Amino acid sequence: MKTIIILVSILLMASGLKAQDNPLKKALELYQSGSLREAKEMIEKSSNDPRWQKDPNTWYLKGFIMKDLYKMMPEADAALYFRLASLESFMHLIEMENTSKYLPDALKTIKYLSSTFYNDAVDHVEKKNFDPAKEYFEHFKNALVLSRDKSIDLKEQEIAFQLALGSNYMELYKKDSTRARVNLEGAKAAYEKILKIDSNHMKANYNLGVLYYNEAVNLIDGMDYDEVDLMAISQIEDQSIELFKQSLPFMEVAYKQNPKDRNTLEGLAGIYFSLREYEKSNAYKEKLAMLENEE
Amino acid sequence: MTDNYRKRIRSTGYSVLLGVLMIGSFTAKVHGQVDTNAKIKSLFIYSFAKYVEWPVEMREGDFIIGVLGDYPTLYDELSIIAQTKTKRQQNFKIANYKDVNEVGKCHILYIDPGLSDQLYKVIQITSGQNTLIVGDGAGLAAQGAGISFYVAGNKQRMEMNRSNLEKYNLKISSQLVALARVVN
Repeated sequence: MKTIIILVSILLMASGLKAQDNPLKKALELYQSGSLREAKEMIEKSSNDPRWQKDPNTWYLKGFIMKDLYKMMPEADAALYFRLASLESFMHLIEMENTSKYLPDALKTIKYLSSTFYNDAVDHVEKKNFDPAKEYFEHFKNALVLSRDKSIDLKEQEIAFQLALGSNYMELYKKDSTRARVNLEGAKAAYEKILKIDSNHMKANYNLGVLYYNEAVNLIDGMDYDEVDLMAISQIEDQSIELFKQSLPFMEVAYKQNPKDRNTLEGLAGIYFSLREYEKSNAYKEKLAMLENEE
Repeated sequence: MTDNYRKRIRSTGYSVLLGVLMIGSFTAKVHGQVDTNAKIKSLFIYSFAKYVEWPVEMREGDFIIGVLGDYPTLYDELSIIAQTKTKRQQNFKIANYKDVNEVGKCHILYIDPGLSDQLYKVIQITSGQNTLIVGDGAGLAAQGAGISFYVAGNKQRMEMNRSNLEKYNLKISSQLVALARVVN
């Protein structure tokens, strides 16, 4: 905060205008005195005024006021608005010419904002509020790109986030039968996003294989003896065969990534068994048995 | 699969700390010990009980489904039927015969693929009875079974021999015929 106050103060003093004639200067004074809400009103006047829109100090100061409003009330309904407004201000600043002297502070603050979005995304995943989690993660990604921070691997973060999302969707899928389809599709979407980044990702492939396999098994297992007639048995069997076939390529990629993973071997044996390709199923069962003997 | 994954990233200069991302405690795993093929066969066998008509003298007492051979998952599935269903006034009873010489009077007798070579003996034992012999393997209906399961395109299918069914005085509904490959 010291940095910006000094910087803006110097610039404003140089302008020679009185605070009453200068909403930017007034906003700075309010900001310095800790009157953030009033500073916000004043800086918004400034940022809406064509005369001050061209001044990088407007966007610089607005970015910090909005960020500090967020810090003052991180739980407020407007917390997201403050952070997005802060980011937007810094974006304006970055896009302007001859603003390199502002960049170090601006980029550091953007990086800080990106971390708050990330932490909120994580928090929402853990609370199983998946839609806000995804929204915050998108904000995190956008802010991280804007921060120009190369120390954090965005792809790695995306994979970790989607794995967490998929896993939590599946946990809920197991617990809440009323929204089973929604949670199942949520998990699939999360793992498919990982495969778009890394098509050979072992866990994502394995988990997708398991999801399709278990979906097929549940279809068959869920058939009630008196509720299904011959035609329905045939139709449900067709659907389950399609799901087993959908499961297979994912499980095969997972197997290639780690041929000694017991769960994958078990999965492949199960898929081929359900597809009635018994020789292949037995081959994987033998590999599993060999693995167990080695251990 | 161990899904617990922790990531902590600290950026330089601004004390930016990204939170700990727990991948979650849920471990995706294939359903263990699920024999979907046994469930499908069990559903079909139960359908045979519904869509085949036995002579009047077989409509009293228990409705017996025999399993010849060692097929515990099918036996278990059929046992669920016995515990929860009836065929009109008849209770289902599931009998497991490890050896062909143990085979008693059954309404339906399923023969495990491992004992398909005992089909001729089964035919001798059940001669004069009203038993629906269900084989498990292509071509068994032509060799004397009334109905036989076979696999085509990964799917459980069935073939049916009407002559064999008539020999046992069994009447098949058109719904069952429509789904089967008739071999005679």
